[in-house]
Amino acid sequence: MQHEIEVKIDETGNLECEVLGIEGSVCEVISAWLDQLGKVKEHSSTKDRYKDPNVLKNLTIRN
Amino acid sequence: MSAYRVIEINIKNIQSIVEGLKALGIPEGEIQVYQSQVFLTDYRGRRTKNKADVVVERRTIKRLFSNPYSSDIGFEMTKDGMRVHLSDYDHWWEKKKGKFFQTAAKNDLTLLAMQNGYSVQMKQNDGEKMVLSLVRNY
Repeated sequence: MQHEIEVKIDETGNLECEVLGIEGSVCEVISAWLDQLGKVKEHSSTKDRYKDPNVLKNLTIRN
Repeated sequence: MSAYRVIEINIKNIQSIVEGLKALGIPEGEIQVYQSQVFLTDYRGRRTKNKADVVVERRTIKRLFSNPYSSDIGFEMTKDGMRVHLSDYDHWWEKKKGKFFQTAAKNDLTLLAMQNGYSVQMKQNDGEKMVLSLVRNY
């Protein structure tokens, strides 16, 4: 599954990681390997986390 | 975007210490890796101190950075990650540690990302914040 993870590294060595291009709960699974790097200080979901890509595929708009 | 993490990195690869030291301007020829230890050598290639951690001797720092306030500083790689030892207050380390940690963290992240099938590209590096893009195409 094609996706991008953007990582910002500050001068204390802290990493801020965001998953781009993926919606739904799968994004948390595919980025879990980053936790091996150290101690997770914050872990949250953005609004796209709650989008279900399957629901969007089947959505039909009628006028 | 959908998942957001902030991770306090704990350097686990000895090569990341080497890369961090190189980023501070220490010549590669003065950094010696021996098993799980890294030594800084003087200009004749001798180890500065035969300790289990990395020791930068006072005179080495003075020669490289012309800082009269520097004191002994060491890096020890334990099973839990890297530990930094300072003998006393160190102006040199306070000034330089940001670049060291940033470079070492980038190296640790890159190694792990490649193991997980990602390609790594630098998007921004302005001296304060470093931004990397990890892309997986399958």
